[in-house]
Amino acid sequence: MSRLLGSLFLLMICSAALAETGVAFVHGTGKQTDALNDYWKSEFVNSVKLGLPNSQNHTVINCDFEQYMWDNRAAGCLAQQLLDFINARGITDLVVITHSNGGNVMRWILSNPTWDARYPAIIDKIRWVNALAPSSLGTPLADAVVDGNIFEQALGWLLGYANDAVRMQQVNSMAFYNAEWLLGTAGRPTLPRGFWNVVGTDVETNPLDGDSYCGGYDLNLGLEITQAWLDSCSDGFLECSSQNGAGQLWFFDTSRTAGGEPLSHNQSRRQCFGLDTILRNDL
Amino acid sequence: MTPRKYLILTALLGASFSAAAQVAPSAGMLPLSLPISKDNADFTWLVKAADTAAVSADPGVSVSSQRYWLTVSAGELNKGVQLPATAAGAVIQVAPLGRARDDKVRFDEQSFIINTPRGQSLSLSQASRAVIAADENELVKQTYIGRGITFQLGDNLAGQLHNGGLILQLTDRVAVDTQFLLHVYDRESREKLMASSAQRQYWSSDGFSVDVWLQSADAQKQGAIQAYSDRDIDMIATLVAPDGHRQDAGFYRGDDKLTVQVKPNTIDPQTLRPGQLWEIHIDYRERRGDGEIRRNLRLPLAITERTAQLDGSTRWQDKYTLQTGVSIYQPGRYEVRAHLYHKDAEHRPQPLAIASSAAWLQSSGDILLKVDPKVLNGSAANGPYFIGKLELIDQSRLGKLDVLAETIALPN
Repeated sequence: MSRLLGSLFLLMICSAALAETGVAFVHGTGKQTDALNDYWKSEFVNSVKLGLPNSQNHTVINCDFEQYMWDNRAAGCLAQQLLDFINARGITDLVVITHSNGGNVMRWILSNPTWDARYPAIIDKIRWVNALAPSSLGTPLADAVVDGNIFEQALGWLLGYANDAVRMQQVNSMAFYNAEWLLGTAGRPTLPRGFWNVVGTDVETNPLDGDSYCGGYDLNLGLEITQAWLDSCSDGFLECSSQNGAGQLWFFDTSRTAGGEPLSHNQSRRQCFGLDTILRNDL
Repeated sequence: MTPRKYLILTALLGASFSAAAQVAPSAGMLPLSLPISKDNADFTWLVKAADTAAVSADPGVSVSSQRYWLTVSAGELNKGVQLPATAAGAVIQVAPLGRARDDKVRFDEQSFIINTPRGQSLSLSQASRAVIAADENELVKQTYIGRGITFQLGDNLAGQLHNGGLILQLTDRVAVDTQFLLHVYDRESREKLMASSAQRQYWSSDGFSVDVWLQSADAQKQGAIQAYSDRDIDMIATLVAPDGHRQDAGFYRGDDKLTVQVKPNTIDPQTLRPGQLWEIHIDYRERRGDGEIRRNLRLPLAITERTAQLDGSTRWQDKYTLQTGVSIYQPGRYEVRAHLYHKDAEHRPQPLAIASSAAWLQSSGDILLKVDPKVLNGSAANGPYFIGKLELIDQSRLGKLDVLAETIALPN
């Protein structure tokens, strides 16, 4: 309901002030130089941006999210790219779409608005954040990677090396950062902008089911393996409780996706089961 | 002046300044990744709810573990390694370490057997709910979680687990000195190792303690909990710095817990890393009958320096600008964050907004906290408004430094 009210309010504002709406795609853990092709895939981005009045008003962020969220290579880089985009396109109404750990970096900016003099100007322009499978409460898989001092290539595309971002996303570490440095979790003050969660609830890897191939069968199979470490409700990388641990629930995957299909952690950044259309219609 | 030279200079200035300060922190050079901006910033936003406890008091930290891990060699695995697990469903992984991960060590279901106390010798498929071998696909081969082999103990072994008598034995031929990590997540166990600390954050000069105990649901139910002084326990407690530096921490046994102690002034301030957490590592083994319960646990803590504090002085410069006095021991970027309230129809205080202002302070002085009246006027709440809490935050080193929990009314 509050999303609906927000949309109506925005509609009025837009009509009055002719808002310039834009969308930014913020990737998850990893050091990206071509996130459009390597992280999101262009068909996903191209489909979502069709919801914009001016489809040029989109940006795909490329930053180093192997660092702690507050690091200038992470939040500092994100802030600069968002600000450059806002200034270059005259954006007055920004929807930010994050995936996984990108939600944490975005939440750092929203939670610490004066940490960097660039932050207030960015937050002022944000309508809301659509957080796809955010790792808000961390993941036991990050703990498993760090347990026993395993500093090596871990979880492939999910976690990369056991870097600072992996250490940060351990469950107990995120509990600390949520309690001290981040807003929006239970019992903490509200974030200055809405943070709406899309929660992936399962991984399907039936080789005879074409749905299992959306986003890449091998990647989904890897996620089914990781589920041994997780609760029964998980997207293969994050438990549902973590994905919905900060901000507000937008929807659980099966309630809105085509055919009621679950979104694995890989699929929640891909053109699978109508996710792109849902995001497009939200712009 | 390059940023690096500037940072060195500010660090040196900080050192000389701190020598005369009431609290004398060490001179730490600000990492380049942290904010060095001298531009002031102000932001006010409405809040729907606020947890006053989270601001006014540090509630401490509690963690639990149903995991343990150890390094084993192929030679040890060939002889058989005891596999303490207390419940079916335990997730067990054997993953190659170091150079072994590049040596194309590949396991499958036939690579191991599990020997039971009843003399059975079971294949992994017989002993497990599921077995996941590393070489099922290219992605999994490259990943830690998928590397080596992972299996989940089957329900058919439930009756043979209580004494920890399972033996995991490698049947493949692998160079005997090849190292592996054996990681056990005893996820359906009723035995959890617990640890708690009274605070989440300590000053670097503080001493502190961490309580550790094994929560045994069955023993609790039966009222059969033994005093720790009477139990056969081996425990190692280690304080681990963010840079990996380790130091042993002593502990003593009480009736109902073990208490790890870190003495005051044992932290080298040079090992502090802004925002990065320290950890108490616990390696716990308790023998019961012929078996044992093993757990490893890591409890995170923040250790910071007191680089500044509120001096207690506040004065309204105008209706929406609060001059807040700050004593500075190290130059840096500091934030004052005010939690604003109003009173509802029943005159109960309700959270309304947060106002935050940050500025670079080279020496003791004021931060001007600016409340945005447009934000307050945009709320449904009517005044009068008041500040319920005022926080001081070191943005340069990520430290929560001070809280003033006094009511400060906004001028009419």
